[in-house]
Amino acid sequence: MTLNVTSMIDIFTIILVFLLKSYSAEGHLIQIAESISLPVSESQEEIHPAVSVGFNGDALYVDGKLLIDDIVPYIESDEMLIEPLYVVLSESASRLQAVAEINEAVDFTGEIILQGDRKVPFRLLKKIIYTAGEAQYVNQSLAVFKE
Amino acid sequence: MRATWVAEMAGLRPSKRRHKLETDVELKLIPVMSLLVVLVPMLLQTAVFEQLAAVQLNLPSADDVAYNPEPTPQESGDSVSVAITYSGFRILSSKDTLKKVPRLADGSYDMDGFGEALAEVKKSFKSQEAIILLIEDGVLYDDIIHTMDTCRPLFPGISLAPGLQLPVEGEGGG
Repeated sequence: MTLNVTSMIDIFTIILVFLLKSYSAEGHLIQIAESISLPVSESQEEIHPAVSVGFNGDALYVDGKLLIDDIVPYIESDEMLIEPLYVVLSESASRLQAVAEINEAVDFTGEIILQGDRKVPFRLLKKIIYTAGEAQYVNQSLAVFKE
Repeated sequence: MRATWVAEMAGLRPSKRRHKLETDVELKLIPVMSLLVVLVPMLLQTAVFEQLAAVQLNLPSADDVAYNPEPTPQESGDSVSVAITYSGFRILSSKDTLKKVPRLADGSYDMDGFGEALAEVKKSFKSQEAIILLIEDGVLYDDIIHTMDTCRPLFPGISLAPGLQLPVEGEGGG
């Protein structure tokens, strides 16, 4: 008795082709925290790996690591600068600049990716834009899902 | 010897090769199967179903400010901005309100209506590429992104700015 696997191979071949089509060797180069659901946009611009700041209505992450676990006081305060974020970002900026000085292949472009949850108010977004700008990250982009 | 050869040429003797017409070939599919069973889960695991994209923000850098200290009256006269308020969209020129697009009854922003209104405004600002979004504090990020999407085909140079109240010091064009 032989096992009749031909039809199963058919199925697998189709799945294989489909998966290979959607296969991207890059994958997610930037980490996204589970609790952040990015908005969907028509933008086709490619995303480059860089320092990332993720934020939703509760918490703030830098490079996927939790930095502020209760962001509400920062949203409500009149202070534009988010102090802990500023400290971390200016530290990493100066580190990258130091590397760029030694290694000519590396350039400090001040690129940063802001990953905001779609339910975040603009008040928080502008504070983060301002804080990152103060920490010399001026080349900012917003991460979104392609449609 | 020679006789045999001649006979063969004449086709008098059947070839020694077997003409096996009905072959009973069984493809060995099990190894292929094992390969697929390994490959499919691996690809499934690495598959990226949601592609990321970026929306570039145009922040004014220190160089820009030095290079272009103040907009000429011509430039500022032609500027278009969109205020995203809690009540809806308001398309403004530097002088007055051009259009108002209120929110829909279900509380969402009227993106289609806004797109049409903006296309109409674009007709009188043909050469204008820049647009400023004046956003109120409580407007959600999702709505901002969608507004930017709507603006992009008509006015590619999008800047963000805090809402209609006094701009916060140092915030700049966003």
